[in-house]
Amino acid sequence: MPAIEAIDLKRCYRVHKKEKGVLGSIQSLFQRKYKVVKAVAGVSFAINKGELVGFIGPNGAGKTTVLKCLSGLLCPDAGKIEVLGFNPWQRRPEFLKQISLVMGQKNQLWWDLPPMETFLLNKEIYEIPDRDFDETLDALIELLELKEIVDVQVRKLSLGQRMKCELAACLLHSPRVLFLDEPTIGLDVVMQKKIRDFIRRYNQEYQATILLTSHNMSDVKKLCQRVIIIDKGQLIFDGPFQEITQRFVDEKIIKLVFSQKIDPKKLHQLGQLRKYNFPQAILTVKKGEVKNAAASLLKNFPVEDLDIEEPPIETVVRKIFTNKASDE
Amino acid sequence: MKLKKYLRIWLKTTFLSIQTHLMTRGASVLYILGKLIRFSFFLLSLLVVLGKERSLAGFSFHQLANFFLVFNLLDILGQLFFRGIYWFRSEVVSGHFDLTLVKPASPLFQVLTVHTDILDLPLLAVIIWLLIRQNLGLPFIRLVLFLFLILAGFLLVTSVHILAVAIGVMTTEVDHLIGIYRDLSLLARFPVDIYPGSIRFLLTFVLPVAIIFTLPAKALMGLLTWPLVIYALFISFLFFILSLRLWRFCLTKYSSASS
Amino acid sequence: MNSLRKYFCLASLAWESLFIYRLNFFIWRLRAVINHLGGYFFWLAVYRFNQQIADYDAQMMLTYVLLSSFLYSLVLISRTAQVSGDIAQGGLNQYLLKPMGYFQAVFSLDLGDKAAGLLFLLLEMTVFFLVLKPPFFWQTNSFYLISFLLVSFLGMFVYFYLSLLIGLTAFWYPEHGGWPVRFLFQVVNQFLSGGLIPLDILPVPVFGCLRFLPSAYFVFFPLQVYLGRLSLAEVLGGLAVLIFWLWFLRIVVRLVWDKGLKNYTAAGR
Repeated sequence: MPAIEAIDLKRCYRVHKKEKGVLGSIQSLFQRKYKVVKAVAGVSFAINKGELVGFIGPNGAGKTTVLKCLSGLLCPDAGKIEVLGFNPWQRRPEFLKQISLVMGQKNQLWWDLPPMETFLLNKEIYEIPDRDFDETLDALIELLELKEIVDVQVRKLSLGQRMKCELAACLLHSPRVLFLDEPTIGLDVVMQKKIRDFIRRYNQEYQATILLTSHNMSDVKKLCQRVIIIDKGQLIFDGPFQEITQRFVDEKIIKLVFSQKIDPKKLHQLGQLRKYNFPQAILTVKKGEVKNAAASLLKNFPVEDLDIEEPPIETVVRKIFTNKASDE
Repeated sequence: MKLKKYLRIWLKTTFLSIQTHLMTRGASVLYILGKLIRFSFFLLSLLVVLGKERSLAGFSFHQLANFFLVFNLLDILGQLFFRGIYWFRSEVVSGHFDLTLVKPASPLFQVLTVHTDILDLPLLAVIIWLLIRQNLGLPFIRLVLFLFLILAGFLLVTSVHILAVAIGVMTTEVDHLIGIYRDLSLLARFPVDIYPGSIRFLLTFVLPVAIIFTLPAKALMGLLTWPLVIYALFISFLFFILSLRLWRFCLTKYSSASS
Repeated sequence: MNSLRKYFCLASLAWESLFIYRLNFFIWRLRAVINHLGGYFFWLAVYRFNQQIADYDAQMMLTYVLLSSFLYSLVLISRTAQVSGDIAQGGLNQYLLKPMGYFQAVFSLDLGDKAAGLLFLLLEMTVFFLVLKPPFFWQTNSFYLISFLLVSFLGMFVYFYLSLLIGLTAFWYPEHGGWPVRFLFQVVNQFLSGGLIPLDILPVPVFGCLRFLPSAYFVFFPLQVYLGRLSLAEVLGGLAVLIFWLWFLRIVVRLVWDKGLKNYTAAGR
């Protein structure tokens, strides 16, 4: 039985449209126009225990809405969801004790008190036995390097430190399922890596099922073997990370370094010239023609170095999102 | 030249404020209703307790009503123009105030006047109408004195708000400093004479809020004496200058919020 | 018992939070003192020039005013005022995600706040009594005293549910963090609870309607009991009305909560 399962999940919002200007404001006094936005329009997937899955999609794609439905915050309009065998919407205590939702900016740490107070509060809320609490707390303090900051007022901590304490507070009850919404947003590169390493370790050591959304491609690249892409409330890809490029992109990139000046126009015959800045050049070539193009380049041009690469995932994803947008 | 610029800014922000209120029509109606009801309940209470030819410290009901109305007038003017102060603390904490500081206009002006609250207008209209009705056939000199003292009172109100903002800049430890002013000024709903000696002293000399608020009413009823008028003008100006000084000082001590 | 510990923990954290900012705390108490004194001096002045207002003599009225401060701190200061903010700005999420009841959590925070408020009120009142020696009426009849405490506590629960109900309207009207409705409610409640003047000095037909509303039981009714102005039958009658409102509001709150949660957009990441 999968740990998390969604079948044809649907959820809409009603948004009120305002006309421009003062006249528009007066008009809205008497008459309001509403627009129904389909945040999630029939999404289905199944995630097994211990998987670390990434959810990506442009802003407003519906990722956060899906997470909120899975954690019981929002009631789906239609479809079925099951997490650890529970219906999240019923918000049974037994269910809530096994999950955790971490959302970037909004946090649960009491602003004026040290994080330790919130930790102790959570101990009571989740009814964590003393011994388990002490062990887990010590492990988390070590993993996240919290020793110096647990007794400092939250308001005096930096964003990165707050994020780490937030994460700790959400893991004290050793949840089996973890929902992470933009966990590295606003953090510097060093902190991002630390959080990523921590998530990986948590997944491996505790066999926790982790669902993570992020705009940061490094997060997804380095953590998730499986990726689900959501756009305009629909699931457009669900599979191993490496397959994204294979599925959506038909090209490869050839990076060249020339030893002598050449006529860039000649390169146009072999593929699309993206960049030419002697001695370097970048060409994109259709997958089927790469071999021939490479051979031709080596034969006809003074090439000093030639590299064949997949397009960077960021470009691919951007292409997926903007392609979809232009389909509308 | 500068005056024109600030007038234009003020008109624009007021305009935007009006639009915002129109956008949230339900909320605006509730606020207006709430203000009118609060005023009515208090007036009703006053009527029930002190109507029927009862008196308080030698003042008749009619006179007490004047004090009550004038207090409300000054109170409302403060809220009308300076509503922005209620959001000030959250602006400082969120870092929004930093954006205000880098704009090419007086930050004090921006902070105080950015949220003109037109929702206070209906109640203001009611109060002015009641005041007129209560005081028909007034000798011209009294009207002039009254208006003059209202201006002095408003100057004091402005000073208090500047003070609150200045302290708010230095320490975000206090939630609603302006709340103290509102609570204290409530004591000025009635003439200071009703309070026992020590309180009267406090309200006259230490925290002149009350006395200043009750003076315009006294003007209406011809109960003023020249020492009082001079004292009022002096205090109002003094507070104004001091509050501006304090503002400038506190600004130098400002330490902006982190992300 | 184990599951109750979380609520004790919440209450003690609420208590702790109040003392963190000393300046803020001091100003909070200062404002409370100013408000209490203001009311007291007004009535003192009224009675300096008038013997009776309706059928209240000076002692009764001043006792009324002083005890209404106590009831204000016990009943009318409530975390339920923050419910609409939680709903409108997503603070509710943190409660929904945890294995604890939201109402119970709010009530626990409430208790923490009230405990601190009442403690300091007691201190301030002690100073006040020692310095100013007001003509306070000390009720000695144990029936009235016990009924007074009982009715006060029941009133606290009724207010809790009523105020919660008001807060829940934020599910449908989240503008301005739900403040518009709360503001109107506070304004109306202040008068209808007897917080401005005792309700029975209003004209009889008006009073006749107001006395059955839940608001009358927050300040006015408990004080009538304390002052011994009611017969046994009237006290029991009032108790019955209180219990009715408690029962009724609990049901309505549950219904509205369930409906509202379906509407909830969990906004404010």
